[in-house]
Amino acid sequence: MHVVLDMGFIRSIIWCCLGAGLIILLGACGGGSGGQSAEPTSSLQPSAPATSGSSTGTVPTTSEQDLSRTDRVSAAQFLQLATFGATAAEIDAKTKVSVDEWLEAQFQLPIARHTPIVNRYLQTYGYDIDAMPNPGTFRRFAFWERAIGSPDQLRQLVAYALTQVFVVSDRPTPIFVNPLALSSYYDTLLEHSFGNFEDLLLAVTLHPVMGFYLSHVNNAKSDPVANTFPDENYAREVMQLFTIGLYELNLDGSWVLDPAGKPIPTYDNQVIREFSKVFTGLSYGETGYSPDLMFGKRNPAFNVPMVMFEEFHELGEKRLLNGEVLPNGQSAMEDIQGAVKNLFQHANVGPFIGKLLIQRLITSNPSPAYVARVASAFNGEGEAPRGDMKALVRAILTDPEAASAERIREPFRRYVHMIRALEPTSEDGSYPGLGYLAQFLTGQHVLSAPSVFNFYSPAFTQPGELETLGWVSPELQITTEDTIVGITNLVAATLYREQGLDTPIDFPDVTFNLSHYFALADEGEALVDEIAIVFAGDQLSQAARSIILDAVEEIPATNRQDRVNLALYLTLIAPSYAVLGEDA
Amino acid sequence: MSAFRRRDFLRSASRLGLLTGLGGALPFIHQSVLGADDSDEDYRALVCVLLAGGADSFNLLVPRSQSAYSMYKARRGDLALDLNRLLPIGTEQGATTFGLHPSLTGLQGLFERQHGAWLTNIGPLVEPTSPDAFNAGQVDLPLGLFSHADQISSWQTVDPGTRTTTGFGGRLGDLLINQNSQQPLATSITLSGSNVFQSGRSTGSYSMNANEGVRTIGGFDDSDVFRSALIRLIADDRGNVLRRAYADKLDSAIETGTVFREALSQAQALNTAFAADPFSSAMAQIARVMSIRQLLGASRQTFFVTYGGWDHHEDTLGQMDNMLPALDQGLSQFFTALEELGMSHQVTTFTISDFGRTLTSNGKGSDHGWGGQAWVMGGAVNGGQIFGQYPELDVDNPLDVGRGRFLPTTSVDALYAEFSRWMGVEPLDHPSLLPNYAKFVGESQGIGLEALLAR
Repeated sequence: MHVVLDMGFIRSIIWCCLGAGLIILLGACGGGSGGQSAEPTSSLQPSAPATSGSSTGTVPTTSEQDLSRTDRVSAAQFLQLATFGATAAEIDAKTKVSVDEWLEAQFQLPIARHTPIVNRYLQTYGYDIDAMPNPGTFRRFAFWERAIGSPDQLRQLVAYALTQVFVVSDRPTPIFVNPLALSSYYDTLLEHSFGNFEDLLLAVTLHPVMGFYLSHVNNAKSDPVANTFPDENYAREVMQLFTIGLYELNLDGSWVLDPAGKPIPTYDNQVIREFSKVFTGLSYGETGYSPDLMFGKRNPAFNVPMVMFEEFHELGEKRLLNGEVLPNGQSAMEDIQGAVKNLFQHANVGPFIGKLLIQRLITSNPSPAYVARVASAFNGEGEAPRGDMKALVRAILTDPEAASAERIREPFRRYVHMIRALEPTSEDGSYPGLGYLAQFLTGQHVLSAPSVFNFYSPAFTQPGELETLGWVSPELQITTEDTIVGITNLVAATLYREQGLDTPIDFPDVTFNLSHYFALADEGEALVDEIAIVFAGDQLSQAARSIILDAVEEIPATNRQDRVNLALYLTLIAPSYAVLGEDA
Repeated sequence: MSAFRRRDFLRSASRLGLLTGLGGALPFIHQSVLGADDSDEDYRALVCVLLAGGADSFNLLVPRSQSAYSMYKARRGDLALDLNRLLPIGTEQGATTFGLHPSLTGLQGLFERQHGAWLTNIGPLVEPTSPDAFNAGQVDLPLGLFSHADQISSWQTVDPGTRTTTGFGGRLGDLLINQNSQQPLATSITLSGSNVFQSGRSTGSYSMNANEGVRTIGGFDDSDVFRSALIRLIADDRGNVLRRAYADKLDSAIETGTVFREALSQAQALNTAFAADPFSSAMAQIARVMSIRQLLGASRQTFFVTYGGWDHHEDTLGQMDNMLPALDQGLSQFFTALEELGMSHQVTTFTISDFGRTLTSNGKGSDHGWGGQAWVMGGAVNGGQIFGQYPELDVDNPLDVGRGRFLPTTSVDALYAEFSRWMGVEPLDHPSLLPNYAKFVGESQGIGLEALLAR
């Protein structure tokens, strides 16, 4: 159940990192309290000719000084929803194009797949499950390289959001130790992120990692002699979690109620048993990677779609949702495709998937109207067919309500955001060392959830103010005393080190380009303001700004690095950064 | 939770000596309570071990006598354990004798020493439910029956007809917190993050790291500038609902974390050795915290730990062989540690899981079921017994609602009612504690556990 990482080793690394950080902090604080505030710089105040507010892409700006603060804030707020995290330069670039233009450009970018990177690491290090780096980490290296360096940010991010809907995980050892398993899975999500939901659902259904994770690989038809029945696992979860949920939904995501005022279940156990018959007969498509190294056991290919073995597929008709029946006698793959279509056509999918993706990408408590607008886009509007993922993503990101997003940033994305916005560079553009501490300190890493129910429930709330308002906060479920210390220390470990992230192997050094902030370090207010724009979309509260400014000004202005580090550290752990939104 | 968080943080931080540089020993704890004799001590704790995923508990407690084993073998098919691998235990129901999964040697010993008991065919119910009423759809049933998301909650909330956000441990904590006046957040401690079991109306859980206990925020103890800025952020950067929820956790991480760290630094090392697996490590942390209960001023506590990965739709036998030794070690070593601390009779530990699983196989493993077996252990447990009626595994048993999914014959309400009384709370005096319990009083699914714990 546990990933094969050397936790003891990593533990010693974090203490090294923190040790270095404490020395610097102490150094910073030993310098007395003489720093006083100065007049705020005007370089970032509105100085360009006022535009009409929304970016049109025609503003003739040539340098940062000319950009309006309003436009930069607007760009920063959009990009913190649509990317893993934007640098100051990317924010500036965004001010020159409209949201529609930006989206269209993202839709056109080629897919930056993860598998080629995994193959590169396999060529470099070979496949040795006892070696460092462990091949099970190669797909994580690929994630970091793409999340940080790839221009197709929106696609990478949508695929990431889909990993939290179609959840699989590297916690089972066979998935962890197969380096191509989850890179292939992520690539599958990337390929369909801007495609059609029906194709996405079919590809996920046939992916061998999903087959392993929800046990419909090697799922055989009923055997009356042995008294065995088809496995019900995928049949249940594909309905409960991936498509329609437990209750009939209105377009706006609210429950349809019966005359007694009760929600109406979408299926019962009999329907699950019918679907379980559909998902029989699938097995691995090929023999997998390095056969002699998989403990000498069965060695599945986790990067080739599963294939059908008709003789293990349950015969007979299957009674699906909405009275639809798969006829007796059709091919097994026709059964699978028919079941996927049956699910895809269910009226719940738009509001169910739409709301889940709004919660992952934008806001925890979308209004019913927002859900309805997104569900309508899913259902097909204008030229776009039902299930068009571009239409879905566009509707989610361009909705007026997206501008008032309120959500706790989950630890993993906080970390990715921080790293990306700190403008990391390495000699070859790879960042294999970056993810090492993240899971250890925060309990979270891409595709490493404890179960198919993800790291948190989309319905999580807690008694008190939240529940009284009828609000949920999924990410609050993993916001505990322990993880909050973990993410805080991850910020410290990243900022307070001389160079390079310590890793168990001699990976390329990663350096952060903080020159943009060093240039502002003399002027505490300008420094805090710029960090607030770039990192928090200008949503850092006034209270936080003033507290951070007071702290920064305790440090002599000549000590630029300490000023920048402290301003970043405090910003990145402040509640008004950790929680997307505005003060009420 | 919020009731304990709306304080002046600067004041409490000052009390802890954080701002004035006092540091060191906690000013409000008398050293004399260290090592106090517990013979007259009024301390009791419940430890909830969640086997997340739905452990196949019809392979934990298995009938051994010939006819019952034959039926078991016939129904389970390729999931049946070999008769000669079962660990015999000295109890019977009618003509049926029983054995344990071969990995449970520690639990076998605790059972034989009468420190552990099994509960059989127990599960969540909304109201007394007969097979006929179930089949006729005449009763309210747990929401999302047979599904993980709801059933894992049902065992924790024991209010399975709703999707409530509070759990039994949390609601019990609401009633007991006044007995833990020095450190309210010591009432509910989790080693596995947030959980609905310990979520109460006014109390929540304090989260510790299973490996490291209480971790420290980098720089907090060493930089005055950083520390005071962070404390001000917690106090003032809370301008909307979610920011307040976040700031409250950060507050608790620092404030309660400091108290715990100070107290734990005075904990005596235990002679009992724990295995290194994550579950056993978590149990070791619980034993450590219990050893400093007096420093924390705690007299009633719940602890929560998850051991996940039991959703064995595939390779059930192999996966259980892999996973049960850690469970067996962690539980038995924990009991040994409690004996070393002289407090085994003050702590009751129990397992819960999403559901039992289907008796019948899907050819590789088992699917989601309903009633199942639970383990309860502690010095107060009237052990060496099976509580409840182990079901006939016959396909014609009306309790079998399909593929060997068993309608529970004991409701979780009955178990938690017994726990409540042992902790000093009469459940019928507090209807919101166990909202459905009154419906089970005197009914077959609500009785039979009155002698589980010595009081």
